[in-house]
Amino acid sequence: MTVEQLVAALGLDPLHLGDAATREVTTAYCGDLLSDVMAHCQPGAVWFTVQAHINTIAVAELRDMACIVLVNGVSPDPQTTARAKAQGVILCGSERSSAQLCMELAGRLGEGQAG
Amino acid sequence: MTRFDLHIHSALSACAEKALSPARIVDRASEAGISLLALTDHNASANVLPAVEAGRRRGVGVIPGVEVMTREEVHVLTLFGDVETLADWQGVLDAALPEAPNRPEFFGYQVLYDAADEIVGVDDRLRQVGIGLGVDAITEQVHDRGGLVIPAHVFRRRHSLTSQLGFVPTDAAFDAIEITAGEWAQKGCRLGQRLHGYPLVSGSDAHFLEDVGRTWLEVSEQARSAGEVMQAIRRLAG
Repeated sequence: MTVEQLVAALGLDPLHLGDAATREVTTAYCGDLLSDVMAHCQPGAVWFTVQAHINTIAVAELRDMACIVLVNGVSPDPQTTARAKAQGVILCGSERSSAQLCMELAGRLGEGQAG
Repeated sequence: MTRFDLHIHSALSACAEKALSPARIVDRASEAGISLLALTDHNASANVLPAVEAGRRRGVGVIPGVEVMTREEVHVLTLFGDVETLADWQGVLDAALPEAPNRPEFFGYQVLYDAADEIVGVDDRLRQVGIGLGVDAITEQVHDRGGLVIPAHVFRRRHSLTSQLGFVPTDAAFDAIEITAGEWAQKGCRLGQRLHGYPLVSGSDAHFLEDVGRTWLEVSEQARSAGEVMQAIRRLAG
């Protein structure tokens, strides 16, 4: 599933898509402690989080994620959106929770790939 | 010379010892030669005024402060020039604090004292919780009020910039960053050092009476306020 397809499938709000929306999403991660996310999130992941701080973009880049989804209707800090655009990191939003989105996504990225 | 401690809790912090009254804090600090301290309870500041009064009697300057738990659940010291500005800032915090009762059986009581060391009440609102404002918005709003912003214990495994946000952002407007007194001693730190560009400080983060006066920092100048002590630190940091 590509990021574009993921946005459509989960009804995400595309805050910043840029030109990497055809990238393949291979796994998913949920986490709000960026120290934990840095340690455990795998490349190619869609990352569900409530952390809207600018450091979120750096962590996504560091772990080579496919995209970030800010959940529970959290809006990004203005600096966060600006950094996402500058770094070409895909940033989406959703009113739903990490759990709801993951349950809907279950099985659709390939079995056993959520990490 | 000024011996100071920018991070002390009172009994108003649910997790702190209930004997930590403003008057006792000031007394212990004074005995240790500390002439300037900041009272920094979690998202609360109602014990600051009695501490200022008690401090006046003992010749100890009390910086009006509060340790904010941000939306990211990072602990950040916010220090102000006067109690009126702190009261205004507390209004912002109260509006951004989730509305929930404190559960003393889980978190501990939040005890209010007067300057004469009498218990005058209990704060029933849950304080030890993240507010609806992020660390950058908080920094901006504190600076708008002429205050100082110092992220606390930035390498601790809970409620720190590192634990919550992965690392210390290098382009924020923090006035300084704090490491624990233990790390400060262990690494042989000195005032004037910078880390990630920010002046490095330490505080006792006292949660028990015996922690007050155990550690401190010193500048050679006479400093009577947060602003003056920060000026002295910036001079050392070049």
